[in-house]
Amino acid sequence: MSLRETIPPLLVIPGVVYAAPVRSPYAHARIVGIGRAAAAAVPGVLAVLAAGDLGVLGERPFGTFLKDQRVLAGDKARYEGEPVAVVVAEDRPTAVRAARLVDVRYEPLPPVVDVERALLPTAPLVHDTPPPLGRQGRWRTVPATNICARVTLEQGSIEQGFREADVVLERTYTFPRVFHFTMEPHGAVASATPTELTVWTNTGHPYQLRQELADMFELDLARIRVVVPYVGGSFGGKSFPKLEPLAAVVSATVGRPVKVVNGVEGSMRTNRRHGARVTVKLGARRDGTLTAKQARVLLDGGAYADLGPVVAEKTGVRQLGPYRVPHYSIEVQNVYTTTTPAGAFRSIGGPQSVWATESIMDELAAALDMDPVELRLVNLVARGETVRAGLRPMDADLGDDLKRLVKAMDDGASPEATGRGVAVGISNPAELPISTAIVRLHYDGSVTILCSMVEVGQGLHTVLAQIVAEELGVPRAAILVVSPDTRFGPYDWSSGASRGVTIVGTAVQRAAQDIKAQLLALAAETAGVPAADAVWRDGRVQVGGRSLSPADVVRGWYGRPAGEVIGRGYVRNLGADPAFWEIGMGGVEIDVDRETGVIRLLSYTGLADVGRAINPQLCEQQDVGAVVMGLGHTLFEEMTYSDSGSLLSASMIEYRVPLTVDLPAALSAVLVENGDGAGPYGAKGMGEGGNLAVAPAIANAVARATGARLRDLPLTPERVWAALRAAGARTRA
Amino acid sequence: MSGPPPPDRRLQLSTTVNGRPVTLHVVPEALLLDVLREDLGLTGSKRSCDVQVCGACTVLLDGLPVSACAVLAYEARGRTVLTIEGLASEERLHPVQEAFLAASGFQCGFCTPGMIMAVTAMLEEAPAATPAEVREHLRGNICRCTGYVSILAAVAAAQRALARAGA
Repeated sequence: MSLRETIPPLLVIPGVVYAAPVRSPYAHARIVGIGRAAAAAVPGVLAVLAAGDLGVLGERPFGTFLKDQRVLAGDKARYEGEPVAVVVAEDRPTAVRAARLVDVRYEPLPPVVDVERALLPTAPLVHDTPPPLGRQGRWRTVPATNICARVTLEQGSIEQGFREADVVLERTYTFPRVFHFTMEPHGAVASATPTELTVWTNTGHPYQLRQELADMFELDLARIRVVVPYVGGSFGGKSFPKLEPLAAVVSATVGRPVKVVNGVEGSMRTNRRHGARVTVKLGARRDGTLTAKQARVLLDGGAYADLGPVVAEKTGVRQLGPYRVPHYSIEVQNVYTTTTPAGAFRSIGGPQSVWATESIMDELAAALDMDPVELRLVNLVARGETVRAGLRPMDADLGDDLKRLVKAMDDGASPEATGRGVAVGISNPAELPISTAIVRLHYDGSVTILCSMVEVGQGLHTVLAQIVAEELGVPRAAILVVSPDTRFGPYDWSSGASRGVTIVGTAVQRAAQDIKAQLLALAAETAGVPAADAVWRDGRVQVGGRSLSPADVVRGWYGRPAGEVIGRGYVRNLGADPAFWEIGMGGVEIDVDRETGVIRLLSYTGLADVGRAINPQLCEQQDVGAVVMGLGHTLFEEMTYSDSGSLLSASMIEYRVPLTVDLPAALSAVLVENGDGAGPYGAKGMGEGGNLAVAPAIANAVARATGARLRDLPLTPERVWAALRAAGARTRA
Repeated sequence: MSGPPPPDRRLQLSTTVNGRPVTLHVVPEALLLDVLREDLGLTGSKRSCDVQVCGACTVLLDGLPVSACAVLAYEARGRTVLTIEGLASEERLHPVQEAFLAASGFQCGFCTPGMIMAVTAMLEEAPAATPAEVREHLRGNICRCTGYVSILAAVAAAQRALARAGA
């Protein structure tokens, strides 16, 4: 990729105006009146709009899974920071200044900040009436409760399983609400006419967004154009509709192109990861064999469903872990609260689940007086074994992977370490492997790849160019990958779930192979020989004693330097669901400062079982990046809310993400390549898995080093120090 | 929206941006970042945290790194501003830019301009900074994608390249 390609063009839309949201200061409040006069009087202000000013577009709900959200809160605000009005002005400073002058009168309602309390019969309802299902929705809300989605998984009889156990542990682990902090906040520009709608946005999901906008505006898909440039990070935070419906509806209302951008503080009020409270009961025989697992998970979904129902479903499977459990009963409830809506975030429900499943495995090892690695080896599912009935059998050698991780840790062992911990994460990503690709071979031999997975920094576009270079024998420099534009580009489901290389890569590979097949037919036709007489060898077509480059074939068939060959690739499934199991393991060596409770990270080793690393450098960087992101929810990150539902950690001063100084002294990633994936050349997806193991590996290491078991994240020095004191008191008693 | 137009509160600002003298009129509260991005079209400097924590808007003011989101544009009067757009010469990229490319010291690229400006300033001041000193220096530049490892590798490569060039 050249430097110039990494610089997106400056987006200048003639006639664009700016919309600044007015955000609710209350977590839960009825909106009783909107005073527009002071804001409207500011020179340069074009309109002050509340939900009632938007006509039918203000009433139409959106949501891919549950249609429970509107572009502006109408009757009531459901979280602090929810947009309740917008000021539209010729320039952004004017819009922002005038937004402060909008006089919204509220009647505060009791907030719902805690998931347990949200389930009490007396809890105020976040949504008074059950919302309709969205286009991709399967789970309905439970009426007259705050339960957004409830998912259960059962197998065998847990009563029998716990009877067969020699040791039964029951523990509760909590995982904080955390913020993606993509460096680039959300932003969208929309231009609506009565017959067409164009949105330029940094979404990760152009085609899901297209559907939502088509439903709202009652337009054909062909008349909705979503254009996505290079995006400054997503991690799931830019999945599904965010600011785009608001920009589009305001544009339709004022008749001008409208730009809406968040600052980071606005993005903090747009989306976050689900907090989780996991109570898990685990039974095992004396030899370590697991007999039964029961888990009850409460996910804090915030004010709107977003992806929450799917997060609940995935959490259910991820609670099983990579282990053989004959009897289990899992219940996951995604709960509405009056806090920032929660959505997709780098392995949905993954880190929350692995935090619990891998912490309790070490607690069980301690109770059985077994080595934690040995306990895992006894229980890991083998290749081909069922993780969950109906899903793809395990497609990796987990025991070998774990041994390789331990070997890598041994090889780099730090003499200063006082504790070591490991954790094994698996997830079932890449749901709905639907993708299409168009590859265009031009008559000069250069190639354009049209695919619609967004480049958010994961490096997918680089890998797609590698795949086409491999298939067509075209130099990498002659291949251009185009960013998504739904007017011209092919359909793709989403940019997420570690699906890029496996699914989009397969679509692009098939499109390149389609070109190859066409080139053979065209070359044979041009030479006047039977199609079978043209063969492909080393990136060239051999026909009638001649060796032709792909460009020669194109020019030859058209009879002049003109035309092109268009390859298409469709993917609708790649065998069983999931397309692959994502494997993310981690091992850490630490020391704990007993005076301060500070955890010192001496080494961290990640392991990703990637099938085939088409680009090893990008794979390693994905894994390392995911590990460091995981240090955040492990050590410092938490969106804290007051009892009244106000976000307290409301800027990047209060909200602390990993910095250079937080890195472990040594940090490396092991890539396992067995060529056993469903993607091109045996590749599997990766990029989310590095996130999974971090928190339990570190907590397990702290427990091994000090005897103090921490069950609440983040592992702040205060918490570690208090746990050390408690553990010391127990030892003395 | 009637009545007389508001009095013009704007100040005349003369400064040097990327080696070129610039004179423009800015409101007193205008931030350097907004003037660079909106008035001068220099969008390499990024707006992210708004509170001088993340470093995405780092530019050099008289050679020293500052967060352009927390500097008034008027403070740049009579001084020199260097942004990422002014770092490369006509012929070639700056050695720090080349090192970031070679080491793939970026993923989404949003933090990269600020990161490169911060590294450039650091290596001017302390070309032989130790790895620990580099980490300490860059604590004001957040990257959410890379986990920093490839960035630190790029810094080490840039140190070697600059040492070779100076030797």
